[in-house]
Amino acid sequence: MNIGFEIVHFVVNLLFFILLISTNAVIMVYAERKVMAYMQDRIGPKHYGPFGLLQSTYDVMKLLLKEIVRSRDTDNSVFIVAPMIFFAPVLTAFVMLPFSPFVTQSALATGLILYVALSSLDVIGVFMAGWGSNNKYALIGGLRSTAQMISYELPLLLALMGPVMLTSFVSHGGVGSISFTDITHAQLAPSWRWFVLLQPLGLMIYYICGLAETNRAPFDLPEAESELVAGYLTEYSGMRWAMFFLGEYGNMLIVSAVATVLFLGGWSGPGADLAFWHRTVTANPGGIFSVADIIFNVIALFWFLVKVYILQFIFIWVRSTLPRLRADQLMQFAWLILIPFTLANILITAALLLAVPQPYTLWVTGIVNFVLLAFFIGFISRAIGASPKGELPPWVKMRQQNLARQAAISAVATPRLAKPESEPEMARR
Amino acid sequence: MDNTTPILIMMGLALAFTLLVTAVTFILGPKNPYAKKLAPYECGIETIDPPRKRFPIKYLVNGMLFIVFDIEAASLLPLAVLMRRLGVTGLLELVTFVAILLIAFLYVWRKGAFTWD
Repeated sequence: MNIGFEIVHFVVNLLFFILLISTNAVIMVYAERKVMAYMQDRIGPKHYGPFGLLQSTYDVMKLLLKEIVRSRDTDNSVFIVAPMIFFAPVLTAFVMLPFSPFVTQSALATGLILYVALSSLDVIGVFMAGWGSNNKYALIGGLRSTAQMISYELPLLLALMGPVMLTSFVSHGGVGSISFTDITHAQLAPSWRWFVLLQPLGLMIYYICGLAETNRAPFDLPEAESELVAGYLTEYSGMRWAMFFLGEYGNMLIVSAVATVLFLGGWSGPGADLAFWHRTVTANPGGIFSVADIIFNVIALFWFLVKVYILQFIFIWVRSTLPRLRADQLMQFAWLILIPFTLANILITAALLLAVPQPYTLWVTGIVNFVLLAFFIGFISRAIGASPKGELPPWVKMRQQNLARQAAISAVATPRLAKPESEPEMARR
Repeated sequence: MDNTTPILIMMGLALAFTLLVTAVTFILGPKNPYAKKLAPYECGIETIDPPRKRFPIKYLVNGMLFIVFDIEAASLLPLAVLMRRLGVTGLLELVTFVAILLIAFLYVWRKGAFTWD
């Protein structure tokens, strides 16, 4: 560990984070508009730059040049501080994520706890925005958002227990870890076992909670335009509004990145494999990197970003697919479906890991978890009324019955009301 | 450099960034306030009464439940880390802990904490 290496490490990482954070929101806004447009048979932005690529850059410039309006009734200090409280933790949370062995600013031993703590700071920012605006829409939006975010934080945290438990079973010492770096390594050595194969239910529940935590569709009730104008954002404008906006996109990136680290094997992938791990991570973490190591790091970074952007693509996909939930459905889904399932997942995983003898432990755990996942999906689809057997969903059936009933009524009613058959329109012409 | 220093530096940078961005818009943006613009948004009509009124008790119940379950999750984390070391004893502790919580959970469920009207 020489001091020159430390400085290079720090500066390179800092530059990478600044580049990633500043470009991610721009890329994602563009991607979201373009992908959703094509999913809805539209073209999307196309005027600025080739394929409209510069559209979101122009948007950012526009936001920077906007007037900052503060309505006369606001609680000044709360109102002004709220966007900062929302945005600063998002930036901070990037620090302990291992993007590749070299691009890891801080291999903090308690990374998972710090991540959860930082993500719950967002709730405070949202509530301050709702309260400080002194506006009915903003207050209702803020309250709703707070209730939603704290409700979904529990299954989120509980879903992360699975990978943590697994680290204690795959490591040699028998002690698990909540450091993101260690969790990545646990999925890599001595052989590849991404925790998504052992905890698919955990990933599913974590991802659903991630959608709710970032206030994305179908959980975007706090910003439900048709009923609440813009929720807690109603009174915000210009760059203060943009900070919430950027924070939301940063949050999406972090949720995807944490899912990648915990379930999808972090930076591991074809090319960034076990030999690489032995040479760079175990052998000499503080040494000067050779050209081969730099190439390996680039490959690792590439795989990490590919996984992250696939997960972010699913964010967009879900948004253009699913309708928004109702407030009571939202709360009941968190408390009555997600929390029991996560608790059952923890208990079953722990029991299996302890009970099944050694060579089969992980196999049995993984298979049972896949069965649980199938059960979970079946449960949800029954709850929301989608039917797997090719039958029509209940609401479609109801609509068809209604239409049939209306048709029957009008069939009885028409002979008296309709015009006589003897003078059809064609004949009159 | 140890593992906590970059986090502190990043926190400082994040706060500095938010301040900088706000300052930049203050300098670059136009300033043209008038009474109509500064009125709180209420779909175009005058605000009749202050917005801070009573809100549904459900939010409070949710908040209290959150605290209980959050502490639960925080105390499950060390158990999960040490699950292999603790072995069957740890599993029994886990089951007991979750069972006690489930009793409270079922109680508030039967009391109707999760039914919204």
